[in-house]
Amino acid sequence: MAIGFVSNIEGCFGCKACQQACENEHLQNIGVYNRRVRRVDLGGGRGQALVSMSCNHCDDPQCLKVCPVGAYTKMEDGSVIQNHDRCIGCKSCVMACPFHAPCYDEAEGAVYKCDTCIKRRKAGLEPRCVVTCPAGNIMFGELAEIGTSMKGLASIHDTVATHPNLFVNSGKLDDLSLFKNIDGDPKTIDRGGIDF
Amino acid sequence: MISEFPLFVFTLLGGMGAGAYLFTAFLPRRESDKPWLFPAIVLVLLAVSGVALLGHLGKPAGMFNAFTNPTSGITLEGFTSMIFGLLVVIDLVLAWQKKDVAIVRMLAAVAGLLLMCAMGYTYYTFIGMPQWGTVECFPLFVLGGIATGATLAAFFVQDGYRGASLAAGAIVALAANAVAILAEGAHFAAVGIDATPFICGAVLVVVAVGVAIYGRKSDASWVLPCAIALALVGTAVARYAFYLI
Repeated sequence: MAIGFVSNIEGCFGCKACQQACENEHLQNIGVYNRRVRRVDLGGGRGQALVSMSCNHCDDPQCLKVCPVGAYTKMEDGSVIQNHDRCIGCKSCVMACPFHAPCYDEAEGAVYKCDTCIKRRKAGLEPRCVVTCPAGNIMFGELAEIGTSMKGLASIHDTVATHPNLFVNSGKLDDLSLFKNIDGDPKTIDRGGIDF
Repeated sequence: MISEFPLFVFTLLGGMGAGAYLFTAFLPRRESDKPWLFPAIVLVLLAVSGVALLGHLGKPAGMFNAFTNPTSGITLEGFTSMIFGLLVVIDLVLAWQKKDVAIVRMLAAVAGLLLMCAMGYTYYTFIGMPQWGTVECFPLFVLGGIATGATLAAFFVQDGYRGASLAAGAIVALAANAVAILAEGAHFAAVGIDATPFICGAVLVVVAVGVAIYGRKSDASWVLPCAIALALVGTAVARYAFYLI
């Protein structure tokens, strides 16, 4: 069983409602984002691509391997969940994640990460980012189902070594190689409020 | 100051102490009425580097939980640091009692080598940082520790750099360290980061090699301190650039 997200890059217009809603849902400090909207300059007068991404709940999560206190667990449904109380703020997970999905809270000295809104899911609700996106550009669920929910979806599963579970409708992106190092790519002109 | 300055201190000083044991464990030590001084200095280096490592953590009090995941580089650094530190303490106690147990020093040297390997492994696993997560991290940290350790060992090994064994070992270590620094710099350049500090560091280390070779033939008192300073500063410059994220 594997769950994951869909991010419709073609339809995203960068309102960052998903980013703010997620931060607010989890009552995190300002600037501590589990989901970030990156702006990618496509160059050549082709405008920008807007990529909303949180943790991709990889099949081979590097965060799980590098965390010295064993704070990460790969659940049966495929989600990668952090036990926040164990975190010692070493930031190994942040540096190990190809997407820098875990976010370090300077004020608290610990890291937060997308947990697929596990409390909402247990109550039968969708993750906050999914219900917040005004254009319905984010989907969540079983990969077998969401992978065919929209025309033109491509998986980045085999593009990155950790095998992330994310489908994208890549729009104007030429290829998916951007996802190997999206935060470090010079085309990424806005990382959603985080510096790398 | 770089954000990861505590890690810079941890790897530089901890690596130096670990590297020094590789020489003092296998080469005859200088006769001294203070044989405990060398292990004491290494212990101080290890203690300072350990405190620095705690300073890197957002919640240092939780560090005692940090030995549960064997695939984590920090866990491996923790275990190897503790084992190395314990063996240095034993060596210190023995030296205080004017005893010299070679096997203890050799085991400490092995533990120190494993510590340096753990340091390289830690950054190798950080694949989210393209400038770090590659095999070049291993020689950078292992050879960096051995090269800086050679500078410290020169004060405690019989005949210092005048002795053929330490001189040969130090010169080879320094030269290899310079190559490792350049390799890491080349990798940084390949991912679009300025490699100039790495080139500067490698040049200083290479000059240290030249001074050490000159020192084999010269009685000048400035030679040994100069070689040591150049080797240390060159390695530190490259290490600082590594952490400039």
